[in-house]
Amino acid sequence: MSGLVVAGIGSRHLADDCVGLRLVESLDRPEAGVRRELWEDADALTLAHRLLELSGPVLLVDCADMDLAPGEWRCFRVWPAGKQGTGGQLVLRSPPLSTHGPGLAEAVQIALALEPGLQVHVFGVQPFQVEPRPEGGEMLSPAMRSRLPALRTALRQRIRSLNTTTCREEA
Amino acid sequence: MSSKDSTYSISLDHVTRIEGHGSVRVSVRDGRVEELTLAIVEAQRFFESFTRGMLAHEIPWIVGRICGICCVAHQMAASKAVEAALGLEVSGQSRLLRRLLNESQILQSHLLHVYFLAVPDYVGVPSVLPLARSHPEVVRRALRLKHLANEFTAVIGGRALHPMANTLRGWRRLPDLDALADIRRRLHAALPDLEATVTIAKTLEIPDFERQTEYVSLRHPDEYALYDGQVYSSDTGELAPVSDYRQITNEFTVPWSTAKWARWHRESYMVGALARVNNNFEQLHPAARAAAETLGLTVPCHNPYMNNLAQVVEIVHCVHSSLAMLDQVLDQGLEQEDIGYTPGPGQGVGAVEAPRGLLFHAYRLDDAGRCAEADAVIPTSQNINNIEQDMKAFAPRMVASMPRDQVGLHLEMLLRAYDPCISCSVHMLKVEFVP
Repeated sequence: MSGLVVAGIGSRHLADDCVGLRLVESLDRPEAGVRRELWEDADALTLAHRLLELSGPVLLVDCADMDLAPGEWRCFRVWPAGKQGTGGQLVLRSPPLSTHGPGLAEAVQIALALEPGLQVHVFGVQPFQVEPRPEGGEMLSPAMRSRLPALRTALRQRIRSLNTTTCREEA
Repeated sequence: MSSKDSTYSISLDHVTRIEGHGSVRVSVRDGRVEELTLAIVEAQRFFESFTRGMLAHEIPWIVGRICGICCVAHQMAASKAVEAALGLEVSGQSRLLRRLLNESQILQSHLLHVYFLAVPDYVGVPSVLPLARSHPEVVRRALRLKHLANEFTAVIGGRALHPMANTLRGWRRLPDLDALADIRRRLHAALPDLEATVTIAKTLEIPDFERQTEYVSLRHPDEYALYDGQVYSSDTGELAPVSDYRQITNEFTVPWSTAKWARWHRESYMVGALARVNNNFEQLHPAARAAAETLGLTVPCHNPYMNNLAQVVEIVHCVHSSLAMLDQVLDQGLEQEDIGYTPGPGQGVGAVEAPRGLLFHAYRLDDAGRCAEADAVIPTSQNINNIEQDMKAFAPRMVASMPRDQVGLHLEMLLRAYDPCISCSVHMLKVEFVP
């Protein structure tokens, strides 16, 4: 098994939707064996393809609607459909209305259906704002910007924990 | 059949696995179809309004946003229209790169439609998710090919979605030759995946419904027309200049659709892969013609469900055609060209074949070279009338031979076979107030 991949997901045109990209970009000294990637503006099928190219676990860092207070975060493993795991579950849009419909949840489930052994973890952050910011400039909302240091600390801890587990499994 | 079984209504609200929102409503009384409508319920997009005031070179980038699937086609039709308005020449190099970019996008779009939207119908699953469990090798291949097509677009146009490298007259940043060579190698390596695509397409049980209609597409004397040509009608066998697009499309409105409808020499016409294959079969790459033979697609084909197989034929064509064009580019090399232009007034029309069919853009520029008037006629808005005519022709036969749920499924499949992009088709209605 290869090391942990930490992938930031989102679009820089939708305010806090880019929080995953910003957090992963800010990991200037990642742990040994951890690889950073930015999967920016990727459609669902591209995400599914990238997940299938991995040979080890992945932590997807993304903006997520989890019915939490804005700025709160949760980290959980995504299980294949039908397999009950602990923690959060991504909600599928069923049936997908169009090719614009499938999102991260569908991408992960396609990948897990094809590669059930794939380990997919999500570090989700509840957004303050997810619409285009007409004023341009800094893409994150001011409230999310002020949350970044705390989120970065939480993400680092989570990476350390997952990386340790991965190293233990490899040994 | 009891009267309960023979009198019912079917309402397919927001048909799935198409782009945008369309609904089919059928009323059956005593085993006869009383009423059938294909309702388009999307809101207006107003692109023709907010391009007003834009500089000529900004127009293609803005209108590309009409669609995330056909962004290249919208950019190119707009570029050609603006270039026609300003009398700008396009070099052979830029024409070649545009053809490559357009074919990369057709590959992306057709692969997406055939594998992810259409195939689930034929294997009896509601979406690609159960397909991934039941036919993993098919979905893996689909993801592989789609990813390759995306990267092909990115290498030529700078990025897979809404490319920005191309502009009026040419390319702001030319593709990297090493990246082009790599894409050429990978396209060649994907030929076995193409063969497998034809093989699986051959197993699809295409419903046996035929209705003669008019097939309209571009036609070019020297190539299978996807980027350039004049407008050809299968009814007349004659060519019309692209600038006659208003006399060709004759747009009109119906009360149950927010999209405009179109007709030319008869009550409706069809554009798209099947129309192109029917009209220009002899100019397909020999490998694509062989694929058509394998798939049992003989022209003229009047079965609209076969549009899915025509898309497979065009997938084969685009890969082989792109390989030949990439050889040409790699042989000749690329040179940065002058892409400057002088703003000014003018009026022009441009057309390309988008994945879903013939696409027209028209612009009028004012004295300062800013957009004063814009118009776009999208493939799906040309097809919607024909889809409804097909449904009206086929529904009585379906009602007489199928249970109710199968009638609904076959009507949905028919709509999906056209690969409609309803979001694109809904554009601004022109309203005139009488004083």
